[in-house]
Formats: sequence, C-alpha cells, structure tokens
Amino acid sequence: MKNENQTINETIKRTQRYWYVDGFAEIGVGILLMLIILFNYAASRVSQQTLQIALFTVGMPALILLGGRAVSRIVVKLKEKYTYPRTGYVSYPRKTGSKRWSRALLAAILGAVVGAVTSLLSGKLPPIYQQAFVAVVIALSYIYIGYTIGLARFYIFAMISLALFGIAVLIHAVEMDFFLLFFMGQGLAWIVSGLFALRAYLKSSQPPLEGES
Amino acid sequence: MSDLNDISSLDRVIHEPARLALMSILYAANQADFLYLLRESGLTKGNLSAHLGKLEAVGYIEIEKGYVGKLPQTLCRMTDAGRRAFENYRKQLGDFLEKL
Repeated sequence: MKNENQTINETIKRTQRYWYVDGFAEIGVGILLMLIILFNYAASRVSQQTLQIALFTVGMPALILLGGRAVSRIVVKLKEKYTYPRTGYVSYPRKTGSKRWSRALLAAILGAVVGAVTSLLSGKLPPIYQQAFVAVVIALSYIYIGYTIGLARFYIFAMISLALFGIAVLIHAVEMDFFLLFFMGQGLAWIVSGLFALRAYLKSSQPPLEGES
Repeated sequence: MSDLNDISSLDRVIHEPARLALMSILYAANQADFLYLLRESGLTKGNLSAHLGKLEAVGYIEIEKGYVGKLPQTLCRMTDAGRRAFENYRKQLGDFLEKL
C-alpha cells in the first residue's frame, strides 16, 4: 500500500519531468538567458542616458516577454517534430483563474523581496554579499524545482550557480562583470545540459513507427 | 473492522494497478496520447485499450481520436469527475496508511 502511494507520486513526477526529457526546453532557456544578459550588458554600455533608460524599461521586458514566447514556440515545434512521434505527446495543464493570479502574485512578491534585499545589501554591504545573495537565491530555486519534479540535474545547476559565484569572487568580478559571468555561465550550463539530454534521448528512443500514436 | 471498511471503500476502478498508473499520468498531464501511455504503462496495445475503455465508461477520462498528418492519434484527458475521483482515492489511501 505504501508502495502504491509512492508509485503514484513517482508517476506524477515522471510525467512532469517528461517536458525536460529531450533537452530542448533547457537549450531554449539557456539561449534566452544569454540573450538577456548580453542585452543588459550592451544597454549598460550605452552612453546616452535617455536611450539607456528606454532600453532597460522597454527593451528588457520586451525581450523577456517576446523572447520567452518565441523560445517556447520553437521548443514546441521541435518537440512536435522529434519527441512526440518517438515517445508520445503530453500537454500540461495551464494555471487558470485564481490559481494563475495567486501564482503571479507570489512571483511578484518574491521578486519584490529579492529586489528589496538586494538593493538594501548593495547600499550597506560590500558587493560580495549582494552577489552571494543572488547566487544562493538562484541555487535554492534550482533545488526546489529539482526536488518538486525529481530531476537531479537541477541540483547540478544549483552547484554551478554557487561555483560561478566562487569564480567571480576569485577573479574579483563585480557589478556588471559579475552578472555577465554569472548569467552567461548559467546560460551555458543550461545549453550544455540540454545538449547532453538531447543526445541521450535520441540514442535511447527510436524514430516513429507507423500507427503507433 | 473499520480498517476493512476503509480499504473496501476504495474506488475499484482506480485501484487496479494498470488503471492507477494511467490515472496518475493523466492527473499530472492535461492530455497524453496513446503512444506515451503505452510506453509509460508497459501494457500491450490491447490491454491499454481495454483499461482506457473502462476509465472512459465510468466517465473518468475522455478519449479523442484524430490524425497528426497521416498518422492516427488517440488523445486521452482526465475529466473533472475523474480528477475528483482520483483525489478522493488518494485521500482515502492516505487516511488508511496513516492508521496502519
């Protein structure tokens, strides 16, 4: 009976993990992360203040929203072509109504808290504390996701997050240099992990047979 | 005696191992196709069809047949009634395990 309960939980987690089985989602997130930080870096180098403000206030959210949607569409197209015919199609429930709003509210509160603590730390303490805070929050987020869906490679992302912070401390990378190193490293880690997952997936799954779906 | 009542009141349609696996998958997913369910459950095509038919007959899932290009596709989705029944089953199972 106890096994039955564990089997149910494991089956639910395995179904949720299926989104990551082919690595496409990770490659997409990695590319988006790198684009965002490169845009941020380029915007920070702009000398004209009006243009810089416009880039940060309009360009950045637009890149995150539109880039996110574009990456999501490309990932779905790739899955339709390579994954669903091989190992089957699964779609996931979208949060609707109050669940959607409560999740958005939670994300907004979390973002505001992280932003407030970061700016508080940056004003009163050396930059290393601010960097450590960012690295730890991101590492904890990875651990939470890894635990929720039972995907071990998210624990590796958490370790990479802390390792990148360590490297930044060693080479004395501060402010934009830190963020460039930290998020480019994160993006690269996602892409490499996605490529490994894709390679393993293609090796372990067979091309479609007629009438199997 | 009360424990016996608890265990005997579990939903028999869901309690069968293969159908429990199918319900667990469909609970986590919005939709899943026949190929995915076949691979994940490890059942034969005939067995899978029979179990899906039973779940559809009691209104726990909906089955939709269509095509993707030239290939046939069978999509399965858990109904609201199925979701309630599955949550109820898990609660009953959890309560029973707590008493052990």
